[in-house]
Amino acid sequence: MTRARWAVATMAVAALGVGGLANVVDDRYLASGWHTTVHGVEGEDVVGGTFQVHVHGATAAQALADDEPVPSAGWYVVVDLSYATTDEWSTPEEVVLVDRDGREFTHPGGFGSTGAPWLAGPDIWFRGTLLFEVPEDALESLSLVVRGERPRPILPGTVARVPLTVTTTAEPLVVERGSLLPRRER
Amino acid sequence: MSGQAPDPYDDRAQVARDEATAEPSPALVRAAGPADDGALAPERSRVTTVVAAVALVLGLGAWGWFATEDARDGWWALGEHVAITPDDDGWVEVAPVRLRLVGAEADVRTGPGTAPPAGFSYLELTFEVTSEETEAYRSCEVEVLDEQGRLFLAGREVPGLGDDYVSELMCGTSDPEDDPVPSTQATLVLVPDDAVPVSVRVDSRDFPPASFVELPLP
Repeated sequence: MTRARWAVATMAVAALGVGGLANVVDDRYLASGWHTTVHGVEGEDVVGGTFQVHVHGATAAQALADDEPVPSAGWYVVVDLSYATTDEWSTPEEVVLVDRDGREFTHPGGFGSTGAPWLAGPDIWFRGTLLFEVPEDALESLSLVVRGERPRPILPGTVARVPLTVTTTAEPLVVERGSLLPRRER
Repeated sequence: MSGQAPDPYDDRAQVARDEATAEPSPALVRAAGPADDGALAPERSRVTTVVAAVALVLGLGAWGWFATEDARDGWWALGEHVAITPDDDGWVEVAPVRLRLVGAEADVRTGPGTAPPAGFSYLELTFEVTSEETEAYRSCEVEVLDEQGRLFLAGREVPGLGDDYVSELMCGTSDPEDDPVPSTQATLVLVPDDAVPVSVRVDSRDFPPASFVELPLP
């Protein structure tokens, strides 16, 4: 084959290669959300994207404390945690519980901002509790997943995932709003 | 098949193949004139190669341009990429707003019961603001950039101190008679003690896409 034909053949192979690579990237990452998971543990700081998270613990009960206890058909779970950002004031886009089967549990409706994620600043930590509602068979395999950025499929992102040890109690659970912590406290 | 007589058509096919591959006679070559392979083939190959290369580059470029449309739009429109800096007198104009930073006081004391948490302090920023906007209310967000690249938002986790401080600058008004834009406006920013502020950023949804005001701190 002449040099010109080699060049054409090389370009054709390159075009096919780039197209194939684009298809793989689109199929594996862009179409389903391109993200990396950072794994943490309770009691330690973990940085996932632009959020720093510190999980203190999780408690489950079948009622929430209010003027009259609010019962659940399943279990309420409150996660005691602190978090701050790394760059600017922001609220996590989404915080969910995930069980071993991949089921995701979000903040339950009907509670307004009670037990929902709050605003935090760069190295300005807040501590409070997040509220979830789960079926009983999920209690033993829950992880907290903090998605700091909007899960945009066009840009890669990072999430923090912390496995929880959930303690059950017969007492109705109390939900605490996020409050500012003194520097370096968690 | 074994046991059968040879096919008589095999011989004719062989003759046809021989004629097709045989060298042309010198007479035929003369009648056909000069061959064009020798002079034109390399030139045509080069043209083909160049055209293919250009087509490949254009194709990949077009694909990349369309494939990244959302990312480019989002990155540009949602981010702060074009800093508007002050003139020699410290004024910045992003029509219809003009403003300048006239004071920055660190570690401001705000009185009993309003002290910042341990490890934090309040930074007080004072601005002069003029606006020709008289049709709609406009606000401008204020942030402090530190050496580590952190942005601290004004008006968050700071005490409400009556009319002394605003959480966002008023940059336009729909009622210039009864509710004019104050010419002097101050705000408080909660900053960690280890922060070394380097500049103040002012941004608004009404600013041109990707633009923001950057005011250096002394």
